[in-house]
Amino acid sequence: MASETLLCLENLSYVYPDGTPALRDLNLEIRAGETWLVAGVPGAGKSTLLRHLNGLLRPTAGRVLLRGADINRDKKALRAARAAVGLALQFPEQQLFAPTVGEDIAFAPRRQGLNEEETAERVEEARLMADLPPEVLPRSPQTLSGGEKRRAALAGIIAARPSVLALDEPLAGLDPLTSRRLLVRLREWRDGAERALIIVTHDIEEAAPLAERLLVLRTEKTALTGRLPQALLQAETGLPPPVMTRLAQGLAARGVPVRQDIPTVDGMAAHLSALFAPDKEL
Amino acid sequence: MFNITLGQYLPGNSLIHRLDPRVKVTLTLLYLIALTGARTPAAYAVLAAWPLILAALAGLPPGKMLRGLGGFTGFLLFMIGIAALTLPGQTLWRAGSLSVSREGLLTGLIWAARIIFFLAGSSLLTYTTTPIRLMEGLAAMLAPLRRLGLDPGDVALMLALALRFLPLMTEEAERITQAQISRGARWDEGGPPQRARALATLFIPLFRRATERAEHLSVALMSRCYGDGPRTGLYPLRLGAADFLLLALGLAATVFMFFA
Repeated sequence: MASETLLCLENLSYVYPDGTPALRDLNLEIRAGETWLVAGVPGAGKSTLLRHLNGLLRPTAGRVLLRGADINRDKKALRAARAAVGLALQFPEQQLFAPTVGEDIAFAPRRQGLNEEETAERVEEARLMADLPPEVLPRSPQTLSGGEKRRAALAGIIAARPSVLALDEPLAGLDPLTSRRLLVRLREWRDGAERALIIVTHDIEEAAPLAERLLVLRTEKTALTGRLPQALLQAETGLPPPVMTRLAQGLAARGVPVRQDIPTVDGMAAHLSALFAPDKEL
Repeated sequence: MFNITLGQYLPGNSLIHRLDPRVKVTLTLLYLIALTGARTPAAYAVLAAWPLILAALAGLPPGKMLRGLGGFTGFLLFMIGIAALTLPGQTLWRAGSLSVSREGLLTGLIWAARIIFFLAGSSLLTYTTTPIRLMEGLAAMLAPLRRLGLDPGDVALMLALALRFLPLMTEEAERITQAQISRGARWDEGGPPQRARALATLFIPLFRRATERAEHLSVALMSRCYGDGPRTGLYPLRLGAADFLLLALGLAATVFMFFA
């Protein structure tokens, strides 16, 4: 069953006002239920791409379609896109401004004209999704730890109830445990309804088990897309080979016959335990 | 609307750009002193020639300099008008109670010329000197401040950092604006109270980031031994032949103003 196409990029190109090209002829279809990882070297246009998804930047050429409608067609379409696509720029916690965490999360629902009751409901929903304990709501955002601030900022975006969540480096600067938990929560958010998740990250391997699709932006060349986790094995992505591939190569060099095409830790663990099961001869 | 280029730096590698910043500051001060001494047409000719020659030597685009002065046209015309209408002298033209005097018009023109000279002379300094070089030069010239317990290096660094923070703050404001727009913020709606409240979503994070940045910067400066001893420049200030030559010419021209 083909699920609904939420966002569609048609021949999207963008050139900065100073003449620097950032995106060239990008075509992409993001369907409900998908999680996309976006990779690429610094300067490949990852953040620029995200800014197009809710109309912060206007494409130099090409279109961005939200459920089939061009988001840059008029003011109304643009507003619809701003509401439907939740965008978190890098270090969103630097943008917290309200005196309390609860007030900050309530900002977007209030701007959408919801009443107190509905707003409170949205805040609670977003708080749960962002894994924040209830006692942080009346506190000042500045008293939170780094990881809590990040989650509070994401809650502020989730509270707008977007269909697409586009996050720029949401894991940057988080400890491995917190980043894992955040990924799991985001995945749960995506599973909740007809939603899609787009994550720009340098930690592709960490996020790969929770995502379906990979987009690699390349300078000077057209972008690549692939299905995860197999896409991690493609050399043309320019990404470093996965740790598990290097492990397999090392084992093979020492005469252990392991498969070379398993990119994930879980997959390799299953493969190795099958290989080295006590009831099996080597 | 405000096409005023005063204070800008126009990159280049001319003789004037390479002059010691202390010499350029001194020449600018001499020029301002000379302005007050000019009395005769010959003196005014030297005053006009001085920035023109230096601008030509620096390879500055004349159009850009003229546009920079253009922003002051209204002010200059207003000043000439006031002088012509209020100062007593031989009447040139009369309409009702208003009369234009010859001496008044002349005085107004001389004032305007002095202001143009002043602007041209002082913008030459910033056009041809990077903020850092200017600060180094000022720090060296402010050395007597040490007697008052102030470190001239600190004063100069503070000025340089303030200049550096301006573009950073602009960038930051843009990032925050985009983030808040993504969350439904609008700055173009409602009456003044709503707009003021909306601006809080920009200014609170902006000022917090500015203080955070300043704090990080101070830690970074201290971990690089700032304040642990006298500071030296990467390119030490050194006076060359051209510096002495221009300084001598500037002095001669200034003396000429007062005796011509």
